[in-house]
Amino acid sequence: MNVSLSKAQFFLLLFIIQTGVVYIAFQTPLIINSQNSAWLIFIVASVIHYGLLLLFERYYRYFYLNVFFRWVYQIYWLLLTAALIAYMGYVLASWVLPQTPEWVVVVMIVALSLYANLVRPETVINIGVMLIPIILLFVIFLMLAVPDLTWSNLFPIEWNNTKQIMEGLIHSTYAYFGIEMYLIYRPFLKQDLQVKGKPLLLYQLVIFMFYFISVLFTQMFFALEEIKLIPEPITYILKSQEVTFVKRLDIFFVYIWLSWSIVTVMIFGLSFRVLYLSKKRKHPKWSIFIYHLLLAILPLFVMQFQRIELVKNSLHYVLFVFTFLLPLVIICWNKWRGKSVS
Amino acid sequence: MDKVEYMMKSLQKAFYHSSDLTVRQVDWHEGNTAILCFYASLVDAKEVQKVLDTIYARLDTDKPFWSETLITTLENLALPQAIERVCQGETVVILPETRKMLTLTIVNEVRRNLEEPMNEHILRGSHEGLIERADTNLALIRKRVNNPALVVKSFLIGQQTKTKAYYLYMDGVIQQETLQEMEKRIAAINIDYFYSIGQLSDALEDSVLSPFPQLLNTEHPDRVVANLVEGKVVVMTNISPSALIGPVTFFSFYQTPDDYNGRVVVGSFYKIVRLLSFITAVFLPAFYIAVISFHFEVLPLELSNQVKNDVNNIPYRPLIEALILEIIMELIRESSIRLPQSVGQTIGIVGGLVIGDAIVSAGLVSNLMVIVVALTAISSYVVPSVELNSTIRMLRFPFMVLASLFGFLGIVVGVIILLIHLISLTSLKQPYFSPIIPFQPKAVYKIFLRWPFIKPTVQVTSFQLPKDEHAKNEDTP
Repeated sequence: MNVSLSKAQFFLLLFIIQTGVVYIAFQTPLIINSQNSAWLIFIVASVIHYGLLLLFERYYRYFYLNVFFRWVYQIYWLLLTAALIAYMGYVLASWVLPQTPEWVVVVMIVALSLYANLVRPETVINIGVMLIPIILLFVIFLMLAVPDLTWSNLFPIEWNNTKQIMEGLIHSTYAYFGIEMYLIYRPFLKQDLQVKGKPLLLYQLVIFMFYFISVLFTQMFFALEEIKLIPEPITYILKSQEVTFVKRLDIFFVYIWLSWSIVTVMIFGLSFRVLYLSKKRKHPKWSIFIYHLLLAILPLFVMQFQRIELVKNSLHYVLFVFTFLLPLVIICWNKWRGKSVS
Repeated sequence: MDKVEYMMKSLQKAFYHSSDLTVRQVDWHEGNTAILCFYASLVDAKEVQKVLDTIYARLDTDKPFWSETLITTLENLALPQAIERVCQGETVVILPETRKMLTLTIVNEVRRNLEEPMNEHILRGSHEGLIERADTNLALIRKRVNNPALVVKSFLIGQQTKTKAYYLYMDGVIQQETLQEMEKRIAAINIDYFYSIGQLSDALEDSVLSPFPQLLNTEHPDRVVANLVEGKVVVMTNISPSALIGPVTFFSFYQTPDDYNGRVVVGSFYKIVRLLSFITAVFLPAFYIAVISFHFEVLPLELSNQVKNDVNNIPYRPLIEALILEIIMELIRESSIRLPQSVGQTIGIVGGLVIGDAIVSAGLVSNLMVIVVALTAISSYVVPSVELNSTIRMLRFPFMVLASLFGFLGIVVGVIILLIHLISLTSLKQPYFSPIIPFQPKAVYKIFLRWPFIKPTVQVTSFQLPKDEHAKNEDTP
């Protein structure tokens, strides 16, 4: 695929993948598992994430995927995207569209991703730009909750419970999942562009602040006992805001989140395309079509309350393996063998 | 049959014995005979006679270059060329003895006066408009650009009609890839009979099936010049007052010379208003339908009660209600365009006020729907470009259907489809949604604001940003 990315495009792509689906919900498991210390543990997780970014920037050339690992990642993204779509359908059904058949929602999301991936690759790379103003709107309206926040919810901090810290750190992976895309897209960056140093730090600060606000707000808005009952705390906070012009602000934000998540699904489709088409294929469009066909079928098996809960309670382990461990193993292995991306 | 007679018969046959064709035998120098051939409908016969008298006089004085004047040329006789010249309105004098032909370019062309374009009204600035004659149009442009770098190249469109057309560009400003792309497309035009600018537009556009125009259509010479100095190519024909400009972006269609002829702040304000009108024009009816049909809970309680009372008495679903009014609006618009101006206004009043009031009284549509459709109509007419205006009016129908089927979800799906389409669309292979896609933060403000100093810069040529992300043009009126 003949594509080259600017710094802005590269970081925007990463930002959308990393924040897409999980932004409204990742706070709940994090706070349930790390209690009042959630915000502090999240800071630690963010520092680790930054360290990982630095490591990836230094050794991204060694992230060479052979045929086996290419298939591993393609299948992983397919299943992960299917799970994300199932979750999107589930959230829509619980918040706004209880009567609409779930398959209709799934088909719509997948059809949009298919359309975007069948046209030029630049479309998916650039479409995230359109989300910038609405994501900002999301944060601005979240600020309306400031008068309702109780800062004392952030304390006391318990820092000697290792299990709690580890649980908190591992649940923070939801916030930073998709970081392996850094390694996938980094070789497409224009060669003379410098990423390490200020740009990388800036990216880390932006994504950290974006998530950190949501963690702080959730912790300060809900008591620990309440949060267990709220699977999508950010949407709930928005629902609680009273404005004069609309009664249910959250409905608009559910759709903003939906658009944002659809773009994430598109980017996963593009990543599949990048890996699959790294070798010359006879019928590239057919492979994209089959990928999306599977994407339309698989979520229907997950779209039940118990199954969604099961996925939510175990996905972080899968993310931990494919997002953090496997890339490190591949990098170390290739460095040892001296094999790198040309 | 002698040679001259045979030639005259051949000429008449070649022109299918047309009634307006004049083929006449005339006396020539030193007792020779010549054949005069022209279309009486295209030639000023008196002027031809005057020029011929001058030629006779020059022949009598044995001047060596007797045939060479600004409007006459002598060349070897070839029947196809002679036919082509006559079709272009020239007069051909065939000299059978010497196998030469003298061509007189005295065309009696029909032309109208320069008037302000009817579909591009402006408040301040030049009120001159292009006409259906390329030479006059070129003069209007050359008058504004006294620089040899303004290059005019001619070509013919239509294998049968052989219509004269031109493309113009500023050398040194235009990017070579833009020029090459345009030349490639012009060379690929394959039309037999050319009679409308729409044919040319179809042949030059990147995606003919897209609802969005990819070439800017204007009749304002000052707008043509403003685009030329930004490195764009302009194509004009001899049969239409419209100039086609490319490559353009979506936002080019939202600009008007008034933005740049008025005050900076005022210009910026109306630019913003115009862009916001896009949202109202396309999404307002769909939003209303989605709220009424699916998301009643978003309305504040007081408004919700009022809307409920209003809607409860209407026998139709909101989509049908909206379609009734929208179609009436379109009918009023069409009829007011086709009728004479005075009657058209009356139709507008009758349609807008009388039918609007009657339809609400009859209980076919609600008051709110009338407000929504009226606002939508006003917003759609704000767009300065006729082509984009029509596109926007058409676009709201699929959004209304999607909203009635899936509520806000339908609107979201529609918006994403629209965005994917706009983002992947190109004009002469250059990004159509620039400077949003590819994102150029330094240029985005120019979409919304009219800056005091317009620095003409060249449009971005690819989806990959240039190294130095200079602010690109979005400032052309």
